[in-house]
Amino acid sequence: MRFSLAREAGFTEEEVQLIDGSWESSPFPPDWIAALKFTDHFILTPGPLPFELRNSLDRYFTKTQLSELAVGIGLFHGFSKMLIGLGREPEEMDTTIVPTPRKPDLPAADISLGDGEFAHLFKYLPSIKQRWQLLEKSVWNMGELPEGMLDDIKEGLATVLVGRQRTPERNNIPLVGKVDVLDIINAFVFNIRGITSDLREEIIDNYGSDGLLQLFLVLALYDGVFRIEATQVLTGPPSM
Amino acid sequence: MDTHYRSGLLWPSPEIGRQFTDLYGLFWSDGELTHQLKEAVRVRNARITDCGY
Repeated sequence: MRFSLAREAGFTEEEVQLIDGSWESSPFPPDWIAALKFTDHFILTPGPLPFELRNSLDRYFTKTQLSELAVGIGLFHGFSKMLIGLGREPEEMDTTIVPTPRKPDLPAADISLGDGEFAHLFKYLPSIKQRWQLLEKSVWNMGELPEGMLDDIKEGLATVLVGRQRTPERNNIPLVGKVDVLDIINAFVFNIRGITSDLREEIIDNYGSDGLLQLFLVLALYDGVFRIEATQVLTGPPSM
Repeated sequence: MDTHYRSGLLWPSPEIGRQFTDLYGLFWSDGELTHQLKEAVRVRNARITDCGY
């Protein structure tokens, strides 16, 4: 799949081939190389950026652009894993050009959602922040999973991705049927193919198909923001 | 559950589907990065994650 506006602006299949392969030695401009290195780091080794990569990102991108890059990769990565985890990938797909997602028809609901826990990650993207928080609020309020499990999932992701200490009262990880929620979190973060159809059935048996969707929406949203936090690309110390 | 897609993401309600679409649409239609660069990192994610899209 390719988005139409990128194609119209000159993004070619030859460039796709380079992105699949040896882009580090490709003729891509240095800002693209830095962005692709950041993408690989974000997905494969989420953690503080190496100084060289951090410096090169700071050289080629403003803070607003870095925020866009990080939030974009977080959305791409989290929701592509949600698609895989739900078993909703296409069996085969020819290279198809589809319309680029459009600007929302209506302004975001004018609801005060406060700064929120992730305000520092959206500091340069206030409109995106409002849309992200509205989605987060709706997902949180779905009511399909037991009270407390959403906190456990969120905290589990924070522990796995940013090394946050678990609060003592949350040391008993809940089960979904016979499955430990931490195993689901680890599979989502590190091995999405570990989410099997048997596991999906187990979740549906316990919480229904909307419970399965709520679980994956929570995983997709927080996997993205905790990965941004892990890189420290927007919050870390100045480059040396 | 909305199941009219043969493949692709499912949404538990039209509201949540619209909120995701609006968030994603705003990312693509707004901002300072070029469409080519956004597409380059989207494709790179799809390759690493082994996502069919």
